[in-house]
Amino acid sequence: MLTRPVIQHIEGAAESDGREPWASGRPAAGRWTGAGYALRLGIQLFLRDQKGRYRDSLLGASWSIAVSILLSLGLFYAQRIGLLTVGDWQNDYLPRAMIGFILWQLFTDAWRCGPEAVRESKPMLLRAAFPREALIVGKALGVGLQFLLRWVVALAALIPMNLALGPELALLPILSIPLAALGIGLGLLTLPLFVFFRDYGAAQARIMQAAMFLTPVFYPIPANGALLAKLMRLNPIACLIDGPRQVVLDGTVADALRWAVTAALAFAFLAAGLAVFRASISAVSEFMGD
Amino acid sequence: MPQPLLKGERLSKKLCPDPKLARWYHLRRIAQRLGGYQTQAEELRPREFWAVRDVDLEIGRGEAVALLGANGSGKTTLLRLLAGLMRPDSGSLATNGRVIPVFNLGAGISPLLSGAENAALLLTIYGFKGAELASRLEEIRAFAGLEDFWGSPCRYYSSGMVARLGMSAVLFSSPDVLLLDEVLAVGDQSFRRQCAEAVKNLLAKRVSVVLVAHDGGLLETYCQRAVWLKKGRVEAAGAVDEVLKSYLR
Repeated sequence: MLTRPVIQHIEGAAESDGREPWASGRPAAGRWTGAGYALRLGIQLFLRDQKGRYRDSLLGASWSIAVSILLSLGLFYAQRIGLLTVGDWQNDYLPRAMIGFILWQLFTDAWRCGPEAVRESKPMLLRAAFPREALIVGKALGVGLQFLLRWVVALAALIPMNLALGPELALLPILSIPLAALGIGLGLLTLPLFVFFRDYGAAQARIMQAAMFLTPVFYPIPANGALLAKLMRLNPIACLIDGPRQVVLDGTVADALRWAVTAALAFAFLAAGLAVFRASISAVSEFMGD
Repeated sequence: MPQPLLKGERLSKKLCPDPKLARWYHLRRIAQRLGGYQTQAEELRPREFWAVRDVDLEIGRGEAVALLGANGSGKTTLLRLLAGLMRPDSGSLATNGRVIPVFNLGAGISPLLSGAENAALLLTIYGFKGAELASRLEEIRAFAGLEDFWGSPCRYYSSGMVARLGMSAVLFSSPDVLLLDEVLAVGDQSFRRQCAEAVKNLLAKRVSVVLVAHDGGLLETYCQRAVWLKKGRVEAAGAVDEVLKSYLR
């Protein structure tokens, strides 16, 4: 008779000192549950990455913000010499482009977060038993930190310019959470493709480059240009970038309902991505081998 | 009768050495899991082979069991199944307590972090937290004998020192079941003696051990029972000296 594969815990296992059950499905009285264990281990993996990241580097953590600083200087100079006057953004091109760019970077970093976490942890996947979600938590925290550092640089560049910026500016990290959720979700949904087909990683990088031009990062959605405007309006990333940017710079979002629906959709993608991650991590680990 | 700590029934696992076919098999398996159903994978598809086939294994508390077999006989795959690192294609596995697999003593050790930082991370992976983690850290520091290197990045360690760190973290992880895949012969003579003593102490504390090694003397020292795997199937199982005799014949 054929039997269905089962991994379970026999009831009545004794808890021992300070340890966490992993994948047991049983709540541990007075101790972290499986989700708490994954979260705590994720934080430790994040701290490990941060400690190791710039050790032995001359400029250290400043590498995290180097691109943002260079972009800010470049945009600032271009605006001063009157090079940048784009569509509706004639008066405040610099803040819109800067915010658009750091949000786009957040999205691309978030998309890479799952595949990179799995690839970097390859030596551990078939050797150590721990909740695999911790890998995603650790990487996602790293993506969040990078975003915050870029945000601080953007603030440092924008505030001295005497632009009419309101306190809504501080809301950007919270408003950008749906964008990060969409990125992480898409990365996890496509994780098996990333591992099983080496050409997918290269193709995805090219697709992302093209997608940036279909997203209002450095320019607004064109008022005319029928096809491009339509594509941009259909693009959910455009909505998740434009919405937070409008809130922090204009104090309001033009189409709040559309932004809310897209944000909900982003969290649905994250949930679907996590389901795919859980269903595929064992197969992915086996395929990658030692 | 006390419950076993590990109980595998008719455990089977197929592997495919052809990556072009393996990726499609894996994608199918993922789709099946997402769809909430799993077909009983009893037939081999092109290029597949049974790495482990219909293995029954029961480990009681405080038992030490040797896994014997030639290279490629399925020992490591079986350990991975027992540790929950691989999903069986058929059969069932029940575990009762914390199972710590040890396949490579350098796994999880970052060359950029110090011995102390790596040991703390390993203990977190093993599930420790707070004061318990801090106290285990001190025990590991004393046992590993890395002294001046404890605070230095692990890339300045010799491979023996990395193994000492990894082994020390394992020995102080309070496992219920230890799955050791050819890792007891690491380090210098004095550290091996230390490890032998530590494993004996764990066995005395009723920790169970599944040991893969090719050294018959080592297996006889620790284990009461042995299971001999041949092409993924159990060829013989029983008292360690008898199984070893048949295996070496």
